[in-house]
Amino acid sequence: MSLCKGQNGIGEEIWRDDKIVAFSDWELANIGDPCQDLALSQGMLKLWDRGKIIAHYERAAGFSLPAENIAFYLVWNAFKSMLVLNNGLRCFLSGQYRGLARATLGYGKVKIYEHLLGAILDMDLEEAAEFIVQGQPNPYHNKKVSGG
Amino acid sequence: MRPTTPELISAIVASLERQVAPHITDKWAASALRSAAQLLNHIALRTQGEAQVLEADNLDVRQVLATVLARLEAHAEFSAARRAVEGVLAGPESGAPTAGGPEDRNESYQALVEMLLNHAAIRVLEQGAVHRILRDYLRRRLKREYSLYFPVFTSPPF
Repeated sequence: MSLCKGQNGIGEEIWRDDKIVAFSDWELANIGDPCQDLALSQGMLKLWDRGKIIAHYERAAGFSLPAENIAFYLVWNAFKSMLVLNNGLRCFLSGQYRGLARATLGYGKVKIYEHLLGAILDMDLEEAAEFIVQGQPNPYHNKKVSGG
Repeated sequence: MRPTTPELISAIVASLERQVAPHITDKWAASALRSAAQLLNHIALRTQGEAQVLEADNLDVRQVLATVLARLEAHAEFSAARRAVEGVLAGPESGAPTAGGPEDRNESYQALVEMLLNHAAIRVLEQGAVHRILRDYLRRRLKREYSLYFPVFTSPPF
């Protein structure tokens, strides 16, 4: 168990030079499995070699992270994200708020999650997690990232 | 008719991305523009494939619902679910002039599929056989509509 940030939204890293020195937005912080934080890091695991990132985390933390736990949270996060994002479509459909991001996230992105989750139904957990990781866009892919 | 709807939409997106986006400095406006381009690309795909997808899906789901209905007939405890399915299936076939829009029909069918999937007793009926019929249909549906969403919505939306 450890302090978990709950989710690392895009751009919540505070950079100094080429290093992350702090994180903002801790409203979902909780005490839980640290594998959850890695799984919910929204693309950070794809910025560098995933195995090296996890090994670095383990060295810094002083404990190991079970691969099956990371796999579980990667799949769980896809399911949770689909529900949360789809909920945001309600105000678009009702006409209460027709912001375009509501449609791209609440409809388009949800469809991507639906397809990813539908495709993993007969896979084992680790295969499913890898499929989810590969199938999701990396939100950091068009950001300029130094280091690593 | 040329230019086609997808050609026109494609030209609009290209113009927004090449001539408008570089001059936008406000990050929220830039985000809205990226969302608009993504949705326009999706609309272009819809104009080409949505009608066929809906027609094929409506035919498929009607057959699925008829199959499920037959499986439920021997079970008095599912009379309410049966009546709901019978009511919708008694409506016009997909494509008939009085059938309403294909979207409306599809919405009605999907509501039934959802009701059946959420029915705890139906879920375990015949060792989950009815549930598997519905699940297999949903997988076919995903495959059918795949081209409407991939790769349009796989890029970051913000």
